[in-house]
Amino acid sequence: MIPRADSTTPTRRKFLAGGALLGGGLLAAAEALAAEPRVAAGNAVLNSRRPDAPYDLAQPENVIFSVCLQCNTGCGIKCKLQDGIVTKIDGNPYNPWTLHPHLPYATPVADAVRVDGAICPKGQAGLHAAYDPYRLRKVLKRAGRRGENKWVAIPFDQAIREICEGGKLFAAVPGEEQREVAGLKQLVALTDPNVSKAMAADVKAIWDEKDKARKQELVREFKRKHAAHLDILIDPEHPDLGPKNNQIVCAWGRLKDGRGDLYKRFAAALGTTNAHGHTTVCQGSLYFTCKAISEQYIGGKFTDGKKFYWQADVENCRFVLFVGANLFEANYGPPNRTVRLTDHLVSGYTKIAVADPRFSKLASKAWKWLPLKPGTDAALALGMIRWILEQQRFDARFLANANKAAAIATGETSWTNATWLVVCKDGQPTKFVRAADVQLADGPLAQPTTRPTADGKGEYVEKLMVVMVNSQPTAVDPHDAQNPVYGDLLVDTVLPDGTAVKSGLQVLLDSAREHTVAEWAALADVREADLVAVARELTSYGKMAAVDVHRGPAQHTNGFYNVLAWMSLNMLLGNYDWRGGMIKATTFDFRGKGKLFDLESHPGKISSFGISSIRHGVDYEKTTLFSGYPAKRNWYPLSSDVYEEIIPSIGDAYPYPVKALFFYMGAPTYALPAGHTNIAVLADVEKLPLFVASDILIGPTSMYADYIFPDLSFLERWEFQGSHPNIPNKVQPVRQPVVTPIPEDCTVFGQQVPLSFEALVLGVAEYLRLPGFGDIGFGAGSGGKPLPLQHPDDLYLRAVANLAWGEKADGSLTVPEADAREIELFLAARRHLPKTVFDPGRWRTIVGDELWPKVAYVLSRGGRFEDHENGYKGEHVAHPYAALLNLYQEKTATTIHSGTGRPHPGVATFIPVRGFNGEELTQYREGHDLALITHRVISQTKSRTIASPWLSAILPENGILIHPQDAERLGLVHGQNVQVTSATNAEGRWPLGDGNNKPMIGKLVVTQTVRPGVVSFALGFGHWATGAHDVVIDGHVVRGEARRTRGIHANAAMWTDPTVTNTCLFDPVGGSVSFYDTHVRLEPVYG
Amino acid sequence: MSMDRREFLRSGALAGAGLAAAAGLVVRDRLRQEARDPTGSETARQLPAPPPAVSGLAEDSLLRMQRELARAMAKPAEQRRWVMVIDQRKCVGCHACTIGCVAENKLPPGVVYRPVVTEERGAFPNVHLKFTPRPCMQCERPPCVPVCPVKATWRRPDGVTVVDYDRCIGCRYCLTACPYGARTSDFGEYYTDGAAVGADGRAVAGPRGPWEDQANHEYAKRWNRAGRASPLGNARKCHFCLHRLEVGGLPMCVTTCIGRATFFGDTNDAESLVSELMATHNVYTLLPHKGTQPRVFYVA
Amino acid sequence: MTGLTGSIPAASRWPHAGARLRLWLWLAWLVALGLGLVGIYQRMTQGHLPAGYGSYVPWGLWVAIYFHGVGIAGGAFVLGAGGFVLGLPGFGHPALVRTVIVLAVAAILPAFMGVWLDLGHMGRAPFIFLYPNFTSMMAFNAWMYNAFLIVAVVCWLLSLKSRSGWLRPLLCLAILFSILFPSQSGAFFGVVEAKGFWHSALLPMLFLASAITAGAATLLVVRAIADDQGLSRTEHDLAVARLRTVTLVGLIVYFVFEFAEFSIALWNPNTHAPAVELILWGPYWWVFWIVHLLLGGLVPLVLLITRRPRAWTGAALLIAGAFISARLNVLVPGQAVGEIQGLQEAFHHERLTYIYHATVMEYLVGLFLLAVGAAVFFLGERINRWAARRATSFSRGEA
Ligand SMILES: Nc1nc2c(c(=O)[nH]1)N[C@H]1C(S)=C(S)[C@@H](COP(=O)(O)OP(=O)(O)OC[C@H]3O[C@@H](n4cnc5c(=O)[nH]c(N)nc54)[C@H](O)[C@@H]3O)O[C@H]1N2
Ligand SMILES: Nc1nc2c(c(=O)[nH]1)N[C@H]1C(S)=C(S)[C@@H](COP(=O)(O)OP(=O)(O)OC[C@H]3O[C@@H](n4cnc5c(=O)[nH]c(N)nc54)[C@H](O)[C@@H]3O)O[C@H]1N2
Ligand code: SF4
Ligand code: SF4
Ligand code: SF4
Ligand code: SF4
Ligand code: SF4
Ligand SMILES: [Mo]
Repeated sequence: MIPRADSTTPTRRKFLAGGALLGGGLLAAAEALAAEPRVAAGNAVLNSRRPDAPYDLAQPENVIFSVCLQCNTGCGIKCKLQDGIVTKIDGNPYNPWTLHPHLPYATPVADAVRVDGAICPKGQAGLHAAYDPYRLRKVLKRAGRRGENKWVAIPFDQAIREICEGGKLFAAVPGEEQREVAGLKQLVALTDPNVSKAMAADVKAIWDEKDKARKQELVREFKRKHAAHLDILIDPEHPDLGPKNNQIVCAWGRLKDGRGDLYKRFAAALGTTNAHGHTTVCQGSLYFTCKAISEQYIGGKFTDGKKFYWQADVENCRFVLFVGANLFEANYGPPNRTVRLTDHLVSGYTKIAVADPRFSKLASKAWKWLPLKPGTDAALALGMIRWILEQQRFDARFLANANKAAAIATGETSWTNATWLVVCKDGQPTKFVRAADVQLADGPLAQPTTRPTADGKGEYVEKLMVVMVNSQPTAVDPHDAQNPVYGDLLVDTVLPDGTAVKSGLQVLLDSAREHTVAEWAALADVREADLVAVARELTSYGKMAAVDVHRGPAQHTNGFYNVLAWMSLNMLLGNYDWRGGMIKATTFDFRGKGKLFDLESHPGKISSFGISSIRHGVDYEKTTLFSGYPAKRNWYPLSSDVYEEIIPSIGDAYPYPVKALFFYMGAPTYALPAGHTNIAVLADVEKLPLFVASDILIGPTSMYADYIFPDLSFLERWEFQGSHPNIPNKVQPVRQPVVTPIPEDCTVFGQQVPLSFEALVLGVAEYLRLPGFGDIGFGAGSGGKPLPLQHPDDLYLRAVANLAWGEKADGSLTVPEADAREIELFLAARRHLPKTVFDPGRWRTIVGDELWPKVAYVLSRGGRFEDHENGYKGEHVAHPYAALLNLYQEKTATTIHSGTGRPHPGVATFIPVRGFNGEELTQYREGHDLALITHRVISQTKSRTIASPWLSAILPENGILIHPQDAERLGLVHGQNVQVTSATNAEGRWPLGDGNNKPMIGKLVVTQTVRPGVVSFALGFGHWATGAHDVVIDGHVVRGEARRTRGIHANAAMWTDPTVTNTCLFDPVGGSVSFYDTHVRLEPVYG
Repeated sequence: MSMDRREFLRSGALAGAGLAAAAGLVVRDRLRQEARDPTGSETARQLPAPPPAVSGLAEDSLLRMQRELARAMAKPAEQRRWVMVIDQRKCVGCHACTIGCVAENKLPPGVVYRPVVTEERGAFPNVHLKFTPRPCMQCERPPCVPVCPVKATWRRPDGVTVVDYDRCIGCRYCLTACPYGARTSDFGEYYTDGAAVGADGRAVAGPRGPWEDQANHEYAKRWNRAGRASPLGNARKCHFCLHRLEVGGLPMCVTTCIGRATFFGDTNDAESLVSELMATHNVYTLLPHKGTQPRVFYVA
Repeated sequence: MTGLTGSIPAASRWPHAGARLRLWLWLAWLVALGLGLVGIYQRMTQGHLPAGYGSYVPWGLWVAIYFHGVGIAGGAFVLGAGGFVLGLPGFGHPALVRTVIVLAVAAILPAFMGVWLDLGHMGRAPFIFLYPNFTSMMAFNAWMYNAFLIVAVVCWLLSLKSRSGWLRPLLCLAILFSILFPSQSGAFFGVVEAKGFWHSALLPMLFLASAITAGAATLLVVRAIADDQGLSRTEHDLAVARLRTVTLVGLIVYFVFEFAEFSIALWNPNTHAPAVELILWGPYWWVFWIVHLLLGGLVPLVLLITRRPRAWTGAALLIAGAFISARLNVLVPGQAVGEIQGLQEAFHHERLTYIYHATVMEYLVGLFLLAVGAAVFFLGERINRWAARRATSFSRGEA
């Protein structure tokens, strides 16, 4: 044993002294130089000259828990600071995403900080997003043509004044000397809530009127009635276009709650109905199919469908078929889903199959890979559905439940309409049979009754549904919780009154019988035996099997029906709300309505009305714009947030011209298929007179903006991340400031805040005196003390307080208070933050002394999380969906394709890939025989993560994946450069505006991991903005980084619609854009 | 013309002495490759165990291993026998461990301790992907150690091969000697030096992310590269995150493994998860024919 | 053999060389030095950033120069000093021993500088002496060369005495060192089991053969152009002829060894084969085929077979220069094959590839080292001449 430092030192000193005394100084000196250093002070692990030093990152006062946003999975993170700089990001162990099971919420912070949870590489690279050298610090104003990337930095106040006042804002730009820009002041024409309310009601009446002539009459009436205010309308001939306010569009890409509340409040205060997100570029049809599945029969009609979806409870599933879901690299998301799966995969508890044209990392752990042909998901699913129905391997008991009571009686929480009878006209299923409409010999099957509407304000006539019970038509009240009704499953008959009817399940079976199982397998081009084997396996684990779908089936022109087919399969399994089945997300409320701080309160709000700029939420046929089929562009009664319509609709000025566009954290030019179509619109100052972007840097879309307001990155700001359907527990992760803001400060409502999205909103609100902002922004408050909204903290801290208070008004579900030690750590961990962001005094005042320790409790833990075991109740999840599931969708079946005029099917159906005109795209395929798809890799997220050099080290550039067979056939070799061209982009280039082009050239990756005939590329490469190219600011050239340009982004090769040519192919029902239907050619590039 | 007898004898003596001296020195250093780090009770640590699992629930293997770590750290260093077990069936090739390590140890461009190698096997549709994370094997017979001309690298009593950056002259001999490519050299690059060149910090932040200038904590010390100081210019390698073990933390690549495919612990503790895994699985090592006797084991 | 004498025109001998040639040599030296200093400046201000070696190919041109330099020193010394000890005609002059010593020093010093510049921490070079690890062939090498240098300097001093009973024994010791170290340079690589191509018992032999060949060639050049201290024509010619023979034999032996090494590797593909294939067909194919085989092998062979001593000098020059390729061919491909497939793709960086290209900076520093070597030799020969004049009890032809 080598003695420890403190004991050696004296000995050593004595020796040295002795040495000197003996005249052996020389020897001693040599020894001192050359000898192996003995243990010196504090050499705990390495015996060397250098003393030990404390490990900053392990100290609790250097840790802040927050939430990642490098991708939308939103894992809980643990940010570790060193001298006020975040240098390491790990997982928050309180958060169920990163530890499984996560730490109990009551665990003291000092204990929890010793545990690191697991997150993906992008999450760890999150600090690169915050500290990106290209981060903007000042407001930029365009100093050249749109897209020319010439800027001047201007003061915040000037920028706010200019966009509010308008005028000749770009007189310095050649060609725009005379251009007058309409300011927001001018566009916010309607400000009177009473006028808006009256107009909104009258527009609704116009829409509800079915008779054409009468509709015209109502319009004339409208004009008479509102003659004094017609100038505020976009077009008095079409009052349903709404007020001029609608010519302001507030759009976003990635927006989370909190900020979302602020943005929507902003749009509402501006009086525009146009607040649109990016859902349809993401997995839109997954959301909107599930919305259609979740429509509830309320007040005699189908309504209240939720924009949400289900995923498999992978921590308990025995068998999962993953369809177009990329769990280990993307999805929502790798850390949380992988940890729940791998153990069970190796123990054999869980078995998985993967349906994907590409052999994903997930497929490498699968028992079976079904390499289906892109776009044929419904065929594969219907093949399985047919086999399962014919083999009677479905959950008949579950499907027989015709109402809530039956569900309860059989131990279920949700139930379907599989047994409800559907009227079939000429063999076409239409609406459900209503019992009161069925005439039996002795009168109607049920008497219509008058019932109060759900809000209790009105009445409606309830006619009830019909099922066959032992072949007898029986009325059923879907919401009856007392009297169970079990219907016959497969019914195909004629009612006594001559109505041809089928049960919902029968309609599905008929759809599945359009082809034999072998034919379905052939359509999808998978082996029939494999199809059957997977179907058999799926039906071998009772309710602990599931089909988990994501973007792969959803992002097609037939996305809605692909998703419906797979979700119908889950209904056959009867697995909703079951442990190991399909589950949904559940979050803690932070808006506090009726509890603590009512953050939804918006005094003076005007009810916006009118057709949205993307024509969603209303039937085309109801509007005054109806002029037969095809419509000029598609209408979306069943979906919203139709991203591919926001900018192209502006280009077409349909339904009306747009004057000002706000864009927050989105890059449609990069993200959308055929995103280049958006560039042409954005670059045109006539089509879009004012374009304001919020961005952390100059991005692929903000580069076309007139003004870019610097934003705070996700490590500097507040948000309420919410959850995902694969997390069984109720949660609300809180994103909070961790990093000292990079942007400069500015002043809003007399207070210093960092330049940010909030500053932009508050600045405009202050300038225009918008309702819902300022000293009584949230209204009078409870104790007569008005609740201001003048500072971001006014919203976010109260939201945290609400979260801490809990969902009972009496506070009985509140969190504990942080103890003295936790408060001390809470303050210490934020010691580096400036007062503009963290001011304990201000924070405490906002939430009040009583809530302060609770707020600290929540923030110290990075949000509010239910303990793991509370996520389940017996064999069910604790937070079930517990409602009707529409196997057959009446609402869908009664909407009409605005391109073809034909009704949409109400059941899972195989529809080939089609354009808006309803035609297949065979002519586009000619000479382009490779199907183009796209996928994600773990290291990149869209246009955002290229900022991280660590991630580039993992994969510096993507390539075009191709099977050796195809490569050989085309005479192409691994590593060679090829250019991607298609029928709608024959040049194979990104036209970037202002004369710039970026050719779509990438390296060929010859691999066995794609299906022959298919090529794929990973998202996140081939940049031209986001620091990839030179920009000029105030005359200085800021050089782009070549690293960021590498690889290929082939979205511009994706097909545009043959008739709506300025946007990509889309799903006319679910709104999804098509990412996987294009066919391309690869041209070798030499030199 | 030839030498006389005396000269001849002298020649023989000199040559003999030279050879003998050389042989002696080699033999001495061959035999004397012992670790020189602290051992014994002073190296034992009383670390707080991580928060206990909720009773009746399976706990995350990370918590179990962290608890076992505290147990191992309570023993003197020489009684710990660290191993890493990597279950390739659970590894999903996510590279979280690679980046976790890069971030934890503030590795500059070109320096990596734990790359993950991806292999594609088979032919459509019978394809397979195999992922092999490759930390330092902490060889029991590390060929990287004897080649170091200045004894800057050695094997610790707990089996971890370390580098004293203050001693290392940066000759890179050890890099060539490691069959696993587990050593890389710090050439002094910075990740963000080439970005936003020309920005004046006014409207755009400008080059060199502040994270690149922070000291790292390898070997429980402070290393700040500013002014081309060590570890710049040195050979660098995985050290099983000794600095984290000291404070009761698992190696970073273990805690950030989203597939929970990486296990770490003390095989001298029969109750440990790694002991269990080693006993119940057919583990293998990389390049066994090199005779290095790795302490990193794989399950395939 | 007698007819050969006349064919060495006096004008080609350096001290008597024409003023024009001398001017050119000086100019070339100045240019090399100037450019070299640019390289040194880069190295000093930017560290290793402008260099092309990395972590998967950790050593490049400078380390090759090092082994080339010490090889020349060793080979030349074995022959020169060995000839002296054995009293071979044309070698038996102490002045010739001094030339050989100067030559060895002139080869070793820049070689040392090469590795020194290669270090990540140049300031810590003395650690090799403070904390030596003798299991490291590198430490061993460093100590050996230093021991050799010391013994050589002592020999140089002793050679100035009219008679010393220690000169020959010490020369023998130095010869032992100089036989040991080139082969031990081979061991330097040979012990690295990690690199299949290096881990070969033949490597020390190959290194020895190349050292002897390159050393003999260099000595041949020196003897051809340098002052022969008034040696008789015959003696001179005999010496040159002998060196030619050694060079020729060395060359043949070297290529036979190399053939053996390569053919076995290729015949029975094992871990060596990729490295050999890399040498033969890789991006550096021209180093093997053009520099090594053609310029360093075939052309010199043909030239050496002729009967024209001027051609021999040319051949020797070629060998002395081109044999650096022998080092590069061992060094670079030896490193360029990873045991773990796919490592380059696992984490990307220019320094984490098996492709090495020497950079401009490295070449410039190489020039600098050449210039230093030339300067040391030039100065050394000046000192030799000065010392020769001062050495009083000097009797020529005898010792
Ligand atoms: N690394 C990373 N992770 C992310 C993101 C990211 O950008 N990067 N983004 C997040 C976001 S916003 C989202 S929406 C999710 C997306 O998560 P996922 O949808 O799980 O991810 P994608 O890679 O888009 O997966 C689509 C899969 O569908 C396959 N596919 C293509 N065509 C078809 C087809 O016709 N049928 C079927 N069945 N499959 C097909 C593709 O090969 C691919 O494997 O990921 C989130 N996580
Ligand atoms: N080829 C291909 N394309 C795809 C996909 C695919 O699988 N393959 N997937 C699609 C999917 S799922 C999605 S969700 C979409 C996403 O598409 P988008 O929602 O448009 O989002 P991002 O690409 O994330 O672009 C965000 C932009 O916001 C800016 N930004 C970044 N951080 C911040 C911030 O903190 N604040 C503010 N204000 N701005 C910021 C940057 O300019 C960045 O370019 O992409 C789609 N595009
Ligand atoms: S998956 Fe990765 S990038 Fe996405 S939120 Fe989680 S840690 Fe962040
Ligand atoms: S690089 Fe450092 S540790 Fe490696 S052999 Fe050289 S001196 Fe030793
Ligand atoms: S893996 Fe390499 S670096 Fe690590 S101990 Fe073994 S030889 Fe040394
Ligand atoms: S143990 Fe630590 S140093 Fe080694 S690879 Fe893992 S994270 Fe890196
Ligand atoms: S973090 Fe785990 S799963 Fe991911 S690559 Fe590393 S070992 Fe594999
Ligand atoms: Mo998405």
